[in-house]
Amino acid sequence: MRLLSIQALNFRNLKPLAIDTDAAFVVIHGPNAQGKTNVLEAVYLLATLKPLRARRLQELVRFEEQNAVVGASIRTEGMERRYKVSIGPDGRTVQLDGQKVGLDQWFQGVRAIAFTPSDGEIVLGGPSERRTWLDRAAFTKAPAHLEVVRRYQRVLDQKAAALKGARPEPAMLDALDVQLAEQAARLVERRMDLLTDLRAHIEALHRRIAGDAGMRVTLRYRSPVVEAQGTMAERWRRIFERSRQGELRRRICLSGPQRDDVEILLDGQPVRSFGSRGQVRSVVLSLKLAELVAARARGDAPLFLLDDLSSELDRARTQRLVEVLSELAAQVFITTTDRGHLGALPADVTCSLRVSQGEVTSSA
Amino acid sequence: MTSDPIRRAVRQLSRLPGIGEKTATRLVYWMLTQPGDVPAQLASALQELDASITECKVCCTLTTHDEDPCRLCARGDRDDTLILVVEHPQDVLAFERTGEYRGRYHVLHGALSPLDGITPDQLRIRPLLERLRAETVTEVVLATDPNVEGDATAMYVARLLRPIGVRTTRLAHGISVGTEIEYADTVSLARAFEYRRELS
Repeated sequence: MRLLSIQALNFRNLKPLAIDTDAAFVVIHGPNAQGKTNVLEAVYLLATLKPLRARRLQELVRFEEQNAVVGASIRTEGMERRYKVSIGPDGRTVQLDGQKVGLDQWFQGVRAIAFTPSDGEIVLGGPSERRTWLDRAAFTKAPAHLEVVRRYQRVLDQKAAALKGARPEPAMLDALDVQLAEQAARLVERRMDLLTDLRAHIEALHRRIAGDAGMRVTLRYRSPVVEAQGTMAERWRRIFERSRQGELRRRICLSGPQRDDVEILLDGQPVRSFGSRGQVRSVVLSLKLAELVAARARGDAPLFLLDDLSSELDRARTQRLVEVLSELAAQVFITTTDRGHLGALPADVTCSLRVSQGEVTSSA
Repeated sequence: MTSDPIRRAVRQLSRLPGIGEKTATRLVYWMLTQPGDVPAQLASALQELDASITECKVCCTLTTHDEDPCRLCARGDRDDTLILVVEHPQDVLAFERTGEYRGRYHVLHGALSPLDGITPDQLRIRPLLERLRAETVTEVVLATDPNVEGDATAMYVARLLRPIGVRTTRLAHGISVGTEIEYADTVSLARAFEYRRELS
């Protein structure tokens, strides 16, 4: 997919925005606190309908305004279409070629993978950070994952409510556990499939980015379900059976994929405890690149967004990254304070944008 | 300034599903400006509902006191060995419109949803079990909605029926007939695949 142009109105601190972005590399540069990341935020919104750094969608609306609009022309598989997201006090609405569409259709045409300074949390943070990343990555791979997550969550909420009730009836908990096991199995199978995809690429990518030969990156899904026998749903059912007594005692759900984790190891050691800052960044970036490479291998071409690259990677690693990206033929959006940091980007495929006090201008 | 009776009527109407305060207001003003006593006629129709509607003592669908058991339960030309279990009385009408189903019905009046405080004892499950004991039923088709709550309800009822030894089936779900696969949503399509069947 190629984002040909983007427009935004009342979006964060940006002045009314209308720029062409039809290039393999879109470099957004300028001093700090001018609005570079907000341009990325607009692209991310189109691709995920979620905020990148803000916590709530409403935070994307310009101060003292009611509504924000982001539009774009995107070419996917040879067809150019108009995408439009509006954010108002009541949430967001989307239009594709001027018509309301389902999210199914929307996400067929636009998706993105982002690497931001806060992504170090995927390695350094708690299990929930890794689950969120994993589910987002599974969504980028196949948007149907969202529905799988929602359905699992819905059954989980029902079970939690049942456990909180006056006298939870065992037969009702049984019925909910059967459902929960089925949905848990679907969810975990998808997560594990994604990890398999990433494993196929992460090793080689990490070697190229980090530059230090031979450090092995291992991704391991951590869940009680991994070691058990039988189909995934049967295994979950047995796990839920074993948790029942404790759940009735404590009146909360004690097991399920909402407690799973991904172990990220470098040469057999958890990066979380043993990795240097540089190693953490290289690993996270390799994870994100592996997502992109796996997508390319499937014939998908999500947009790749890199926020504040100059603060994240040294010059040598950055240039190796740019090399990898050039080979992948994906459209890349990069924000940086220092354009020189990126090295020699091929001029004929690079579009350079300068951001100053919320104003975005093309800078050759 | 809106007077109290108008406001009260608006509040009552806006409790109805699909009706917001704006629509409720429009309805109230419309009724007040029509010739003939629209509010009184409406009120008496609603009162009559309250006075005459009851649940069928056999299948629990809604019927009148004068027709209990309901019309469908009273018919002698239906298949007594088959019971279709649905969530709502409207679902009975939906199946009747197909003209394909010849068995009996049972209405649960909802689906299990602990989040909304709906537990098994709020559903008409006990009357169903009593029917199975008394009648010559050989198959129960669970036709609750294909969502989390409907699925949990079907599972719950199926488990209760297991010791009774009656054949229990679940309505198939997947893509709707007449649509093109290209336009089917992914969830329905995935489900349709999951519940695929052999072509002989």
